[in-house]
Amino acid sequence: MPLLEVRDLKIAIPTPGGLLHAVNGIDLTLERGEIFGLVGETGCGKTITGLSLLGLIPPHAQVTATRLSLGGDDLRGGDWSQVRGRRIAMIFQDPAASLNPTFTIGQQLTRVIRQHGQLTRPEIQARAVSLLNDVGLPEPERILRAYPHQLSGGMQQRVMIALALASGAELLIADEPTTALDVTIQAQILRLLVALRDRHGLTILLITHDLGVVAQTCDRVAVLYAGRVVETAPTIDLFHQPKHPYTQGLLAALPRPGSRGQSLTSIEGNVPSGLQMIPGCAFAPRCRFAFDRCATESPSLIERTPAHEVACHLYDEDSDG
Amino acid sequence: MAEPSLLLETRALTKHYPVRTGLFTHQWARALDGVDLTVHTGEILGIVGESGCGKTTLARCILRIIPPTSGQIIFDGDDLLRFSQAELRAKRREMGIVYQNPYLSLSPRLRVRDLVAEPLVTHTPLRGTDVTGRVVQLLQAVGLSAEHVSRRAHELSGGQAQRVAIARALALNPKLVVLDEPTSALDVSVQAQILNLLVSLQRERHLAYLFISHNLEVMQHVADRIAVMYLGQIVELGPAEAIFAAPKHPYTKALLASTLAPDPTQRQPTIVLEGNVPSPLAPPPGCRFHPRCPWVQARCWEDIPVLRSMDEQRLAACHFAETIPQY
Repeated sequence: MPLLEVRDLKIAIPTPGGLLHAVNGIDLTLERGEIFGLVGETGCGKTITGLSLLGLIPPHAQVTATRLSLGGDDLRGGDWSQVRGRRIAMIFQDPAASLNPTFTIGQQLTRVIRQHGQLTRPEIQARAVSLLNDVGLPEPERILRAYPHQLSGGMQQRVMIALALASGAELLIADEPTTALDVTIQAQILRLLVALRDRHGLTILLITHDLGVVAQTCDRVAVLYAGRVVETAPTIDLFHQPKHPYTQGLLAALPRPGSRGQSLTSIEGNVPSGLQMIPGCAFAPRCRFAFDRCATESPSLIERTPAHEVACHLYDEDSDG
Repeated sequence: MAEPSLLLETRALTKHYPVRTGLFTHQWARALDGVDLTVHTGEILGIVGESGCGKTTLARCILRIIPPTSGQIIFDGDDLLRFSQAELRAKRREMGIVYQNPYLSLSPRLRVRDLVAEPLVTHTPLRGTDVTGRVVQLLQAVGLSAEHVSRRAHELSGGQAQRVAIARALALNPKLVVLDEPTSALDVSVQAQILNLLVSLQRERHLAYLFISHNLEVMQHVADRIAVMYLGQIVELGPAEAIFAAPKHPYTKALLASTLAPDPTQRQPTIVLEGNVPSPLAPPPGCRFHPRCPWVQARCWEDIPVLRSMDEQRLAACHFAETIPQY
């Protein structure tokens, strides 16, 4: 049984300009122990999808799903406090904004440990030290006495990961966890996430805009566009045989070794605002291959080659892809 | 083609900031410590480094947005630090700057016409419809059109707003444009559009760019030469192609190895640097990189390595650049 199953997730948020369709029917399936990438550009709905799995959506937003389950338990309409921070933990782009500046790391960490088990004071202390060791922080005793501002961004993010582990969560949602960090520190944090998966069997939903991060860490990946999954595949397939024109466009837009002196391929036009529902394929207005059907009928996500699903009419007649 | 002429040279450029450490005490943060570099006409010099390495301070000193502590900045034959404010103002016409986030660098109150017209009105006798005509020309040069003149920055997409910032930087036909992370706030597909625009403008107008970025793929795509900075100093300088093919300084090697290739079949075991960048308040003695260097030796703790020639065009500041392994 997969750890996380999401079917037809829809999120609409009332705004002064009208109803904003942030997510328009997303399906996700995460197996235990995998690192699953959710990739897309600004406004594609990737962050709000992550937040919705913790029930952290503004109360006036309209959230529906035909299935939303964690380890077989239905999360819909349930008590989020039993899930959030217990079974699912989340880390964010800016760890400094997530940590409380007025408490030491030790106070913040032991508080979480205390809530998740009946432990004596020395046991709590020992657990805190071992968690900081797990996330690769040197001199844990010194870190426990430190305030967040005394740590670097990379160390703060490690503390956030330790807090997530302290809760014993099965699923870690990491929303752009390395975007605010320098490249050498980014490499350290991503290596840590992979190591935690390998050692503790942690399942990770990695939300990012960075295709390099996906290529280097994820087992499978879903590409989002305008609140829909347009393609999902094992990472290697996605990068080597992208099927959706949007995925192809994103990969072609990356500067690479050897692209020097050549013009980069860009995707003309802009992302739709989400305020209007587009009847057909949301990418059609920017798609080089669009034909009549794309403007009227929304393509469904269909498995075209094993484990490789794509939502595009181009593959309708010619199922060989 | 004629030998490209020297446009900008910095000599031992240094900027120390006071940082308060107590009520009456302060220490000096060595944001920039003795930087020598040159930019030729029509050249793209890339500045690479992590946060706090001094790359933005360097850009600001060169434009004299902030006064350097010591050193020289020779621009087009003139020592900028000897200039009076009035002389400097005249000289600034020849330099432009584009910042990372156009929504922060462009005034939210002004319309696109006024944003682009501002440098023209300040520095040239053009007025009225002549200004508008020139603004439209500039907008067309950056891929916008006359219909954008009455918009405000927040009504534009990120890519369009950055195009306005570029038009503004080009308004006075500068010789040098400083680009401080010009695509870092943009999505991949838009980044490609802006990079294409910057490269084509540079070629058409024979501009020199001082191109600051932490993104090495972007750097490899655009830069002719690259300066790698660490803790306020240049640790390696040379042709981009040569540096990417065979970095000499251990920090450059680690930086290149930390880059995440967008290719899952190239999951290379990276040289992972332990620890963090030390504080510029108390840079390590000897080689500033020694606490994190995988190939550190006793000498590195004491002797400060100078930037020295590796081959005809390349400089690196490492005692052991010749002997550390290539990968």
